[in-house]
Amino acid sequence: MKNRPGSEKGEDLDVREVHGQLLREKSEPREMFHAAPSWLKHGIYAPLTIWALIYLLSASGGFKWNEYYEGFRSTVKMAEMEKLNSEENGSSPESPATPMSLRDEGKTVYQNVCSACHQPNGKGLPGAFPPLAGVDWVAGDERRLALIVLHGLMGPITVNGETWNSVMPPQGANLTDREIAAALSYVRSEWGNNAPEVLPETVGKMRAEFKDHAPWTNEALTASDL
Amino acid sequence: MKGRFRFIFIGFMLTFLAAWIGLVVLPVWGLGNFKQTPDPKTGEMIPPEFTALEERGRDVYIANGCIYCHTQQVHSARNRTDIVRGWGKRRTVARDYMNHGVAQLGSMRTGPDLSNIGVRNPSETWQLLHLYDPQITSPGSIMPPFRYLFTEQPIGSDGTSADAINLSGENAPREGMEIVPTEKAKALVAYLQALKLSEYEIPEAAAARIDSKIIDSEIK
Amino acid sequence: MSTPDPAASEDIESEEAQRERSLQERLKVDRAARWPVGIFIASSIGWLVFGSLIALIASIKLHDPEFVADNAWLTFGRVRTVHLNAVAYGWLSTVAIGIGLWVLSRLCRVPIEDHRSLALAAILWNVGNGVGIWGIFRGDSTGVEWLEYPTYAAPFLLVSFTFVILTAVNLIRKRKPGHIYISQWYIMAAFFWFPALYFTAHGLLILAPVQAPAQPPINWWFAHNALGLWFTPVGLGTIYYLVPKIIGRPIHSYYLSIIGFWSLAFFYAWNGMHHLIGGPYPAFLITASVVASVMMFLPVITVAINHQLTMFGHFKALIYSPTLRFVIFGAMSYILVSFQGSLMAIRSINNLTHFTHYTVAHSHLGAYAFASMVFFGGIYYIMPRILEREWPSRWLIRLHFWPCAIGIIIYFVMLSWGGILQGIAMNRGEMPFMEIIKTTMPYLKWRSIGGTLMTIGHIAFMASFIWMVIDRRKQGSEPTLFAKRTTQDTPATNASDS
Repeated sequence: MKNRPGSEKGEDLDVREVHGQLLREKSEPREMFHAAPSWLKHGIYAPLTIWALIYLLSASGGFKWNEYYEGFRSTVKMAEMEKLNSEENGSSPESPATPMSLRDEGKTVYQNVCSACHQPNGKGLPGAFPPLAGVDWVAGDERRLALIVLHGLMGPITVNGETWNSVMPPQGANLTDREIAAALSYVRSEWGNNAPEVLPETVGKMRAEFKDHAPWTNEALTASDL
Repeated sequence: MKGRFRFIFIGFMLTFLAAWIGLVVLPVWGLGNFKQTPDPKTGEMIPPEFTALEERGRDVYIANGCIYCHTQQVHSARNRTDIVRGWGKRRTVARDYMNHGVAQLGSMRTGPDLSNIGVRNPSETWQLLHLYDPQITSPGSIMPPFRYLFTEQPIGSDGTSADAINLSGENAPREGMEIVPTEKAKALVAYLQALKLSEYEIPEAAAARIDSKIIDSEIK
Repeated sequence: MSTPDPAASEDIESEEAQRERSLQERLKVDRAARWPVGIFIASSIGWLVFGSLIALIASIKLHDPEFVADNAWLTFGRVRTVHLNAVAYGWLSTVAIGIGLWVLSRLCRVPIEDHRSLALAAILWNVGNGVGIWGIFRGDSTGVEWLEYPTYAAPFLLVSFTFVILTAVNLIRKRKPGHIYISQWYIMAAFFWFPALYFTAHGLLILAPVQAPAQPPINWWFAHNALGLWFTPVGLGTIYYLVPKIIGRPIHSYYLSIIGFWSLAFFYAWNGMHHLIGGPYPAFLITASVVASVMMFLPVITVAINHQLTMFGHFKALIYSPTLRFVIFGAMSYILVSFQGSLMAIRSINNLTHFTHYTVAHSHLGAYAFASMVFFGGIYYIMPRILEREWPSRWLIRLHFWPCAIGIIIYFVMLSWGGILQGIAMNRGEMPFMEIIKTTMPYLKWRSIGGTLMTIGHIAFMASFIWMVIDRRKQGSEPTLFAKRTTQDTPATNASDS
């Protein structure tokens, strides 16, 4: 910054020559005092404020820490009623079966749960997850299939002549009888498979019969008297 | 007199203080003191705490920024689709997160929600393969491969290690080598397997399920 | 308490003497600001270029996951985070401090007193950012969105910002008597709000974390207000200062200015919970922020009217003034992004846009098309004054403006559209998730194109800046404008400025 004329001891020099930037500046900003337009007050401020108050009071679930639903109905109270009802009647408040067909329902279950490993096309992954398409196991005993899904499977198995050694985790705790039946029905009728539907009752029977069974192995499955 | 800055200062600090009380103090007071409750069926205390391994897994989850593509919350108004996709059985509520240490709710769903990945996909084999290269298990995925969480090592004299992952095709390791997950990858998978956010029957669960049903009927 | 009526004393001075006095004041202010403000601005530009290059890597990774995939430091989750922090704290915060202090110093008509310490603080601020970025790269992120800097970066930032506040307070205390202009309100408030936000959030989320369920509300209160109570007020203060300065016309209404300020102060601070709509939080907590967010229409419309009525009849100045063009681009974007933000907070709209790229596009409209563009304008105005030389080339300024403007428009339009499609697909439960990803793919590629353009603009900007600092020949005489002025005013009084 040495040889800059006027930049070090510049105040006394003719600033006009050096500080073009400053000189051409307009004066420091000021404000005029026009009033806020009345349409702004009546057309914007007022309606916004009224809406805000109404929404705040009506969509806050009664300002309760455990009320997550913002509408007028209280889910907390409804849950209490439901509990009382089920204690009196002993009935479970589960909703009735959906009108969807077992196979259509199974498609969703398969997509959500099974397709990650067995792949959307049912071909599995070489070396890791066995296929389901055109496979003897799938077309075979439906009770055996239900048991595998309920409790899982580990150790070597032979699928279509090829040996697989991996772990299938149990899904019994995660899926209902109907969901398992639906997924199996879907698998048994897709990708060229053509085996009959699996009924939820069959899965229920297996669940009850082999309650909390450990993951199955090839030997256990063939040995157990179904 | 408009020239008094002191009043402006007090004013803008007061507006700030009001919001600070409302959105910081109040949530800490109302949502910061949850205790475990017994499971109505088994009597176990829920939601359970994470093990040390799972906590290390969460550190890996955080260090690699999984949160930027994966949420951990079952959305209420999206309940219908979140539940249809199998991401949870009900909307998640505050108590579900009480043992989470650093909440990883997330704000973006470039990838699927992971609230209940421990239930939806409990397969360790799958998780490891998917981490090594998502294209193996999910062709077309845009998730980055996490090969740096695995190491290549020579196969020992007593054959392939138990935890070596089974790779074939273009991913296959070199002759005489095997690919094994590092401690970090194992911890991460343990953490993922422990994520079962909306599975526990906590006191708020019944109301949360009803909330899901109401919104479902509203959408229909 | 009794200040002499400034109007009375100024009446005595002749117009010529008054201008001379004002000139000397500004000269002192600018010279005192040269080093500290210069360092803040120079380093911010460095962070901007770094942040955009990193952003490009992140953006490419989203449609080409194998791109530099085998380096842990460059995995998506880290580069994306580094990008956010580099631009939020390295670029936007740094430049906001620089510009904020300069505008404050100008309006208080007091030079920055201890400019050596402040220059040190500027360096310390950058050390803090560097340490934080390094921490994220090596995997020490805290895991709290918008606060990923590891704890060991915070002391540097704390010490540095303390200096900044002390400087600002000192300027306000020693200010020459007279009207407190609206920019002073905004900037002063921002200088107090930001540390209050940052250290509340850092304390309760990282140093002594509260139980996990209570974290996200604080997290999003902070993240939203980093924009709302930090970048926005400094950006608005800059617009309020530069627009009248360049077009030579007072702000339309003092009353609108103060309504705008107080409603922003009141409502913005209650924002944040709308990021958790549908999430695991009681209805009333979310509703509070939904209401506050929609109420932001009030300050935004007020400020918009005030700005536009001030500009009215002077839009032709956009043809030649680079500063004004950037600033007005920013001011227009502010209106757009705020309207959009208020609408996105409404539950039914949020159900479509939540968790999608639409939100990403929105946040770039705020942080880039508004805040960054205004700060670019501010830098174009400030640098010639504190360096006492002109910008070297109008072509480089053009090469900065057009790629950035076109880039952000591509980015915003394509990503918003992709986000809407993503939201529609996500709301169809039967659609497999992979299909949603395929839907967004073309738009993710468009994002990389927009991002490349912006990066080109930033590199041109940095080149222009370095050239200006190195080349001492181009000293002040004629401003570097896009085009010759259409109206030839007498240069000494009325010439519109770069």
